[in-house]
Parts: sequence; structure tokens; C-alpha cells
Amino acid sequence: MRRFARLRSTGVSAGLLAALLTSGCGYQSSYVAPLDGRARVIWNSSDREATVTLAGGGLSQACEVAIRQLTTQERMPLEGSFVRLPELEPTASVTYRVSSYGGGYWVPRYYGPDIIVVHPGIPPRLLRPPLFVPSLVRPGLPVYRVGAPVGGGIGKGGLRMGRGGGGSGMSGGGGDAGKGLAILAVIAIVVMPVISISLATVRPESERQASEAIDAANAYNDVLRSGNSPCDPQLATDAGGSS
Amino acid sequence: MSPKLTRGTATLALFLTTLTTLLGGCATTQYQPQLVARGELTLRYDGGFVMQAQGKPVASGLSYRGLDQFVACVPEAHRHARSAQRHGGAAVALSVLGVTFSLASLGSLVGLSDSNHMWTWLGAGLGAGTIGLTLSALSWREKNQANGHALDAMNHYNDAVGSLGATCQDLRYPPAAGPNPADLSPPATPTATDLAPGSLPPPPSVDPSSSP
Repeated sequence: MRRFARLRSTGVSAGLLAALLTSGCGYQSSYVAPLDGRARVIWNSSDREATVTLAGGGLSQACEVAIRQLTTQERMPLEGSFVRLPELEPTASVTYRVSSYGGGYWVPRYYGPDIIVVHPGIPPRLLRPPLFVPSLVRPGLPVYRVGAPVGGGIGKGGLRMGRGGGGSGMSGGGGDAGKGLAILAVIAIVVMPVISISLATVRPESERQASEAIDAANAYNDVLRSGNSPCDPQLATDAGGSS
Repeated sequence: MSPKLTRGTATLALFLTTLTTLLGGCATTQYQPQLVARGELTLRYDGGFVMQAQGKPVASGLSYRGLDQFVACVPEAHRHARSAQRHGGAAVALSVLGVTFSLASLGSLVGLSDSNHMWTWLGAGLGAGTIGLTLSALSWREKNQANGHALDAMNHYNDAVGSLGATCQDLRYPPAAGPNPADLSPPATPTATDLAPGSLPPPPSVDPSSSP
């Protein structure tokens, strides 16, 4: 029985150790996006996934439709929850298109003082970040709030740790403790590599959520930069507020 | 145990591992950004985070090699990029070691046919499995750290340089499109102490304690 106790403690401690190492001590981002109206993909420390912040920008129904049309994604991870993007009607009268500059660059339109480099090679410290959406500071602009989160996705690690120990359900086995012990050890030897190789080869982030966040941020910025945008908070206000 | 059963067990373990790995999904981004500033770093996802600028890939996870050079002029971004590269390298190394120990653990199942040394084989297998699991769990954490640092590096860089149309290699910003509306303070409302038009300014005040 001493062998059994040792095997059991090894299995249990291995499971606990793996669970401890994977669940705790995730990356805690200290980055705070300035409220300048440019959407960003940020690291959400709570669920350790990529998510979108609109940095003060709004999300009207028309903006959601535009993002849906451009990205074909069904939802948008937004600051700890999800916004379900509206279904597209087959007979949609407005189709959003963002035309590129054909290999050229988009010259950013920012609002604030001109940025002058004093020391060559060192970007100046911006006391106040320039705005990309000047209407962000308009008085009376409604504070953007995300709609009710929709199901699933966040925090879905999906890993079931701690099963590698083989359990403690061995109670006798007709007196042939050695055989039962060997079976337990074999189970542990089979299960631990499965968990281990999965941990080593699978990416920790949700690929679906990362793709959705990146697509949404890129499309949102493109729509906003293309002018007369449904994602402009000013237009969102005029059209009846943000969702 | 019979060798047949041993082979079956090992095959089952490998099958489960492959299945778990494949179930991880393979989502990629669908939209390519069209209006991008000159030095702006943008993201796409293709089996990992890929950062690109000026139409060319700059760095990709998990190694994020090259990111630190690209964002070198922004100290905070540079620091995060270095951390991302360090954690990414550690994640790869730990993953390799974790898989190696895990396969060694599975290999110990051949000892089941050696009835004289079966317990030695099983003990060694359990030990190797535990070490492999620990290393893989550590690699998981390192991957997480690498991705988080990389996204922070990109955001710090874009805030200071990239999204404003400059690059670290050519640090020139386009002129502003206009003033920040918050800087345009509204005209002050006149108060009772304000001067009436045409009146003389009040005499300078003198501190009595300063007189000789």
C-alpha cells in the first residue's frame, strides 16, 4: 500500500501543480488605452484573451452592421463581453466598402498640437494624447456602454486539469492490490502525457476570439477613417444613440 | 500485462493527444485593414498573432522576433517587446521539453511486459510524466505572457508613433488636422470685477510690508 500511496500522491500533486501553474500568474496588462477614438486590440487580463476597446468611440447599430459586412464575423469581443453583430439582410440597401490607397499610406488625421520631434530618434512625450475623433469631447455625448453580454467564449479554457491522478476509487479489487495499483499507474501514465502534450502544443488564446477581436478593430478603424462613418460617435448620437 | 495491451494503451494515448490538439480550432482573421498609417502596426491572426506594418510582417508569435527593433524608439514598447521575445522563447523551449518527457513517459509502458522490473518502469514513467506535465504547464503560462507583452508593446508603440504616421526609422509626424477641441476653451463670462469699456486699469497694488 505504500506504493499505492506514493503513486496517488504523485498523481494528485502533478495535477494540482499543473492546475496551479496554468490558472494563476497569467499576464496582467497595465496598458490603459487613451480615449482618442481609435479601436485597439488589447489584452484582457481577467480572461487572458485578446479583446477590443473602442477607446471612447461609439458603436451604433449602423456601425455594427458595417463591421458585420466587412468582417463577416458574428460577434465582437468588447472589453470583457461580447456584442453580437446584427444579421445581414440579403436585400441590404447599403453596402460598406473601404477602398485602400492602392499601396499608399493613409495620412492620419489627429486633433491636437502638431507633434514636433525635439530629440532626433526619440518620440516626444505627449502630455495629452491627440484625438482621432474630435467629437469625443463634445459635451452631452452619451457615454458608450456595451450591450448585454451574449453567451460563451470568455474564460473558456476548456482544460480539465487534475484528472491525471487516477482518482482514489481503488478499494480492494479482490485483494489483488498490486494489479489495481499497476492499472492506476498505467492510467496516470496515459493521461498525463495527453494533458501535457496538449498544453505544450495548443495555443492558450482562443483563436476564434482573437480573430474576431482583430477583425473588429481593423474594420472599425477603417470605417472611422474613411469619413462620414457610421461609427463616428457624432453620427451615432444623431442617429439615436449608441447601443 | 501483454505487449498487445501495452501497444493499445500507448496508441490510445497518442490518439487522444492528437484529437485534443486538433480540436483547438484554426480560426483566422477575415479582414485586411485598408487604411493604415505609415508606421502603424496592425494585427492579423493566422495560427498565432502576426504583426505587420507597411504591408510586411514584422513579428509573429510566439517568438516575436524583430518586434523589439521595430518599436525601439518607444521605451515602454521596447521593454514589452523584449519581454515578449523572452517569454516566447522560454515557451518554445519548455514545450519541447514537456513533449519529450511526456513521450518518454508513454515509452515506459513497454515495461509492462517486463514483469521483473515492472514497478521500476512504472515509477520512471510516472516521474517523467509529472516532469513533462509541469514543464508543459509552465510553457502554457509563458505563451500567455508572451502574447500579453506583445500586444502591450504594439499598443504603446502605436500610441506614440505608429498610428500618428511616423516610424522609429523615420520619426516625422504629419501636421495635425486641427486643434484638440478640449483646448478650445469657451470665452470667459464677464464678472462684476471686469473692466467696463474705456475705463482705466486699476493701480498696481503695493505690499505695505515691502515699503522702506
